[in-house]
Amino acid sequence: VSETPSPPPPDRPGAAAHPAAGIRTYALIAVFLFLLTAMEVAVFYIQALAGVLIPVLILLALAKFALVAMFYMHLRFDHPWFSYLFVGPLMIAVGLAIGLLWLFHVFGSTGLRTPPGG
Amino acid sequence: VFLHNAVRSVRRGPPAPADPWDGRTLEWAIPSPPPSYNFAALPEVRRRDALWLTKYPDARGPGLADPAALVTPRGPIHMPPPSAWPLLTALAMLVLSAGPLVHLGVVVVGGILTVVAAVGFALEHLPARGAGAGGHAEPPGPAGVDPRKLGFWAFLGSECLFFGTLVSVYLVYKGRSLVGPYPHDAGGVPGILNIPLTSISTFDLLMSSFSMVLAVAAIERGDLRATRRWLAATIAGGLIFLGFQAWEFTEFVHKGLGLTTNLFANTFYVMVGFHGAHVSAGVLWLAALLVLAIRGRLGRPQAVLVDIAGLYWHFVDVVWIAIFTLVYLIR
Repeated sequence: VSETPSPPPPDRPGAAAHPAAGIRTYALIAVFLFLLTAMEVAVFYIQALAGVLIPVLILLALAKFALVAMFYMHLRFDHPWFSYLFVGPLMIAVGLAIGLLWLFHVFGSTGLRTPPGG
Repeated sequence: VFLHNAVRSVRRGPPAPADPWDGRTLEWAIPSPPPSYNFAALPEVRRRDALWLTKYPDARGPGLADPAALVTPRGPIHMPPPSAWPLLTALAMLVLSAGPLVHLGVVVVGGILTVVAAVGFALEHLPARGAGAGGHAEPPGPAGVDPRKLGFWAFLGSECLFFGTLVSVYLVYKGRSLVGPYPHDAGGVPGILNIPLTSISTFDLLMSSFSMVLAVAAIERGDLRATRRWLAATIAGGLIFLGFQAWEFTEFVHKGLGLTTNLFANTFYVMVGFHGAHVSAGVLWLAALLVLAIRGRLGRPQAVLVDIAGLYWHFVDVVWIAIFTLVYLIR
């Protein structure tokens, strides 16, 4: 696979031109995504890591999320307005999730949890 | 008297020339009938009563920079032609939204009309069938940003909030189901989630993102054959993922997990089901692009259309990355 970056179309200045990313980069990202997913599944089955399961899995998922958003969605190379439009609401969504979990005592121990797997 | 005058003028009156009143302000500088773009070039106004001073110069200085430039285009002007599709789309959406008040059939009819009108609207400005990679390019918006991509990123931002809410509700009710089946092993009872199977479908979706980005790269360098190949591969990846999801849902129902069985079922089906609906919409979108590419109506000037479809597909992928971790892997 050769590195063949996409040249900016001369008739569309400012449009879909991603000169910084090439096919080799995309392939490398795909390999990383595969490895990270394999690590996630492995971590899930390794009992010794049960204590750190949540932070490790969240870190691995964040890495995958960032790779896809930055390289496949071209946020790293495109106009920063796109990043603001995406990351802004994403932060609100994360804040919403954390707020709701706190409000419903998920972080504490007073929940109505019944069976451990439920 | 006005109506009589208007009708008589329209039917028998002589055509009005440009500037019939010997006007003094700028709007009288354009020809008659006025072109849809009004001014061919942005007029540079140096004085009040700019046109008057151009016609009748006095000692107070120049009026317009160059009145002839206003009617002589300096370059190609891009103006979308008049279209009925936006109005038809709005009317179809009216039928769709009024449907729940009347009958389910009206919802279906409104939905079909909305899809037809939206597709007609979307395809209107593409080059004709067999025209090859022709067509004109959209001018960039402010700061060189394509306004369609900007709008689509705003949409993806709203989608973050949509899925954020669904995931939040799932997590809030996680572990609060009073009856089984439960997602993970509990008290010697095996969980219902099939991690190996979902790992495979996750890998499949990730690889479809890879083929999607290759399709975007291919059309940006004008390689239509590779574009068609990678679009087809992405569609296949999406269909395989949907097949896995259909199989999973069917298994769950056979194991007694209906939509209203418990809190887990309710929140799980709504969240994962909405994600599956997004994947289905993406498959249809990509299939439409593939058909256009095969018919020669998609070329390098339309690369941004494939780019935007790619953004949607990757977004569906990153949502699944979150769901796979938060729902399937975290006990």
